[in-house]
Amino acid sequence: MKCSDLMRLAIKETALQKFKLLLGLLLWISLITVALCIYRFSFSFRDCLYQYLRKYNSSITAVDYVTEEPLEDLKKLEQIGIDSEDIFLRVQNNYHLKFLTQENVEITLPLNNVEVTAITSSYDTTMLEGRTLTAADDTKDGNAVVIGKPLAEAYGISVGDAITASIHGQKLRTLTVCGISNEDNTIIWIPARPYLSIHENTGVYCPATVSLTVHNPAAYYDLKEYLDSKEIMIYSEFEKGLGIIEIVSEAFWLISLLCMFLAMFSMMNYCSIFIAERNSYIVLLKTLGMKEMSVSFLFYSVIIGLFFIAYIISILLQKIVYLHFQAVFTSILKVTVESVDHFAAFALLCFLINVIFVSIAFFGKIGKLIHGEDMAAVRLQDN
Amino acid sequence: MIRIEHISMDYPIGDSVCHALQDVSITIPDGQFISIVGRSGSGKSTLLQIASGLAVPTQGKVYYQDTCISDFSKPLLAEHRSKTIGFIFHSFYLEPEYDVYTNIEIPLMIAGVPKAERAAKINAQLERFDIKEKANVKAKKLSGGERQRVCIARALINEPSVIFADEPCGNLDGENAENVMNILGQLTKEGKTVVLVTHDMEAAVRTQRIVRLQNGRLISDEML
Ligand SMILES: Nc1ncnc2c1ncn2[C@@H]1O[C@H](COP(=O)(O)OP(=O)(O)OP(=O)(O)O)[C@@H](O)[C@H]1O
Ligand SMILES: [Mg+2]
Repeated sequence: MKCSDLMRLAIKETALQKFKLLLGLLLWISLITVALCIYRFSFSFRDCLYQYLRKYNSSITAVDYVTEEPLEDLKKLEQIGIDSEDIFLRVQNNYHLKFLTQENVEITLPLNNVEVTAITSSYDTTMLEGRTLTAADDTKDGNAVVIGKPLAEAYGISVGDAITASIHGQKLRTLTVCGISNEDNTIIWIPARPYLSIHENTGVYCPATVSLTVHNPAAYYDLKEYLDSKEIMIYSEFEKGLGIIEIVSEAFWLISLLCMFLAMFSMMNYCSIFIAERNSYIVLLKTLGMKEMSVSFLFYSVIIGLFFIAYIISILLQKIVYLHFQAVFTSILKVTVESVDHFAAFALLCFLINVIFVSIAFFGKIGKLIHGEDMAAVRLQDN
Repeated sequence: MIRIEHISMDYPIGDSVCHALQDVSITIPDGQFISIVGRSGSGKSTLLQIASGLAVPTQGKVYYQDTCISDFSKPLLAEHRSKTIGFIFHSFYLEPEYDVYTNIEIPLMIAGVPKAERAAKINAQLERFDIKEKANVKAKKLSGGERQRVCIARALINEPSVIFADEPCGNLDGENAENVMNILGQLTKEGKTVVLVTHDMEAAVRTQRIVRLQNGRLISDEML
C-alpha cells in the first residue's frame, strides 16, 4: 500500500470525526490550555508580586541582634548600602558611665531606670526644648545629646548646658545638651558614633543591640549574607513575602502539571474510544488485505494529526486567555511584567509527553484492538 | 483450487473450549460454485474464514493452488487476501460516510494499484452493477440492494479468483436476493470460484455442490 493512499485515507478519517469524539478533543484542548495558562501565569505571578513587594513594601526587613563590635558593624552596614537612618543602636551600658552636670552634680548611670541610648538616626520625638538629634551629630567627634524631661527637671539641666561623661573616674568627653525631649523617661540619647568612640579609648566591653530595617531590597541579600555569617536569625517581611510567592508559584506549576497529566489520560481515553468506534472499519480493512502495520500507521497518524491540530488551537487559545488575564493582573498591581518563563519549551514538552504516552498506549493496550487475538478471528457476519 | 485438509478450530470460551470445526476436509476445484449450509452455529462462517486465510485453524492445513497458506505470516496472508480473494458480506461493511467510488477504491489502494489505473477499473464495475450514477453518493444513502451491489463491485475490483460470500442475501428482499444470486452464477461462468454460505436451501440448490455442516462436522457433500 502506498504512503500517499494511506495519507489520503488518514485525512478522510480525520474529517470523519464524530461530534461525540470531538467532545473528547475539546476536553483535551481545554485541559492543555489551562495547563499552559497556569504555567505561564505562575511565572508572571511571581514576577509581578516580586516587583510589587519591591515597589510598595518599603520597610521589609527588620533585624534585631546583639553585637560586640558595634562600630565594625556600623561600618560594614554602611558598605552594604544600608542607611544609618535605618539603624537603631541601643547600647547596654551596665557599667559606671557617669555624667557631671555644669554644677558638678554627678549623674551615675544606670540609676533609677536611667539608660543611655546611642542612636544613629535622628531621634524623632516631640521636644520640650531645643532640637532633636540629626545625622550630622552622628560623627566621631559629635557631642550633641538629648535628655529626657525627668532628668532635666531633677538636675536642673537646660539646653546648651555641658555635661561630662566619665568611666571609672576618667573624664572622657564633654557633651552639650541640644534638646530636652518631652518623653517621660530618664534616657540620655547620644548618637552612636560619639558614644562608641568614648569607649574606644577605654577598652570597656560595650555590647550593643542593633535594630535595623532595610528599605532597599537590593541590599537585602548582602545584609542576609553578612548577618548569616554572624549566625543571626533574620526576621524579614520581605523574605516571608518571597516565600509565599515561591510556594504559590510552585503550587501553580504543580496544578499545570496535573492538568497536563489529566489531558494525557483524556487523550488516551479518546484514543481507545476512537479505535473501538472504528472497529468495524478496521476489521474491514484487515479483511480486504491491509497489513496490520498499515492499519496501525493509518490510525496512529490520524490520532497524532488530530492532536496536533488540537494542540495548535490550545496554543492560540492560551495566548488569548493568558494575555487577557495578565493584563488584568498587572493593572491591579500596577506593575509591568516581562517574565522569562521558557514557555515554548514547556508547551513542546506538554505535547511530546502526551504524544509519547499515547504512543505507548496506542502500541500497547489500544493496539491490541488492532493486532489482538480478538481481531484475528474477524467476524464476517454480524450475528 | 482450494484444499482444506483435516482442519479443526477451537475457540477458548473461559475455561472450556468451543469446537467450532472438527476434522473437516474439502477440496474446491477452480471455477466451482459451491454452497455451505447448516444450522446457525454449525461452523459455516468459521470454515469460510479459514478457507480465506482470515483465521488460522487450530489443526490441519489449507492449500491454495498447492501452496500451504496456513503457514503464511500475517502480512503474507493479508497480501493473499488482497490479491486473490473477494469478500461479499451479509451486512455489506461499507464505510457509510465515504462515497461509493471511495468504497470501491479502498481494495485498489490496499493492493497498491497505481492511481491512473483505478478510475477505469472502478467505472467498469460501477457500470456492470448499474450504480454509475451513485458513484459520488455516500454509502449510507444507498438502498440495501445498491449497497450489496457496491459490496460485490468492491469484492471484484482486484479481479480475485475466489469469491467468498457469507449470507450475501440475508439482508435483501426477494428481488435483490435473486439479482445477487444471478451475479454469483455469472461469476462462476467467468471462471471464478464462488463459495457461498447460506441458510437458504433455495439459493443452495442453484449452486453446483452443497456441503452440509452440523456441530462443526461435515455431514454431507453432494454434487448437483
Ligand atoms: N471468535 C470466536 N470466539 C469464540 N467462539 C466463536 C468465535 N467465532 C465463532 N465461535 C463459535 O463457533 C461456533 C461456530 O460459529 P460460526 O460463526 O462459524 O457459525 P455459523 O455456522 O456461521 O452460524 P450462523 O449461521 O449463525 O452465522 C459457534 O458456536 C460460535 O459461537
Ligand atoms: Mg455465520
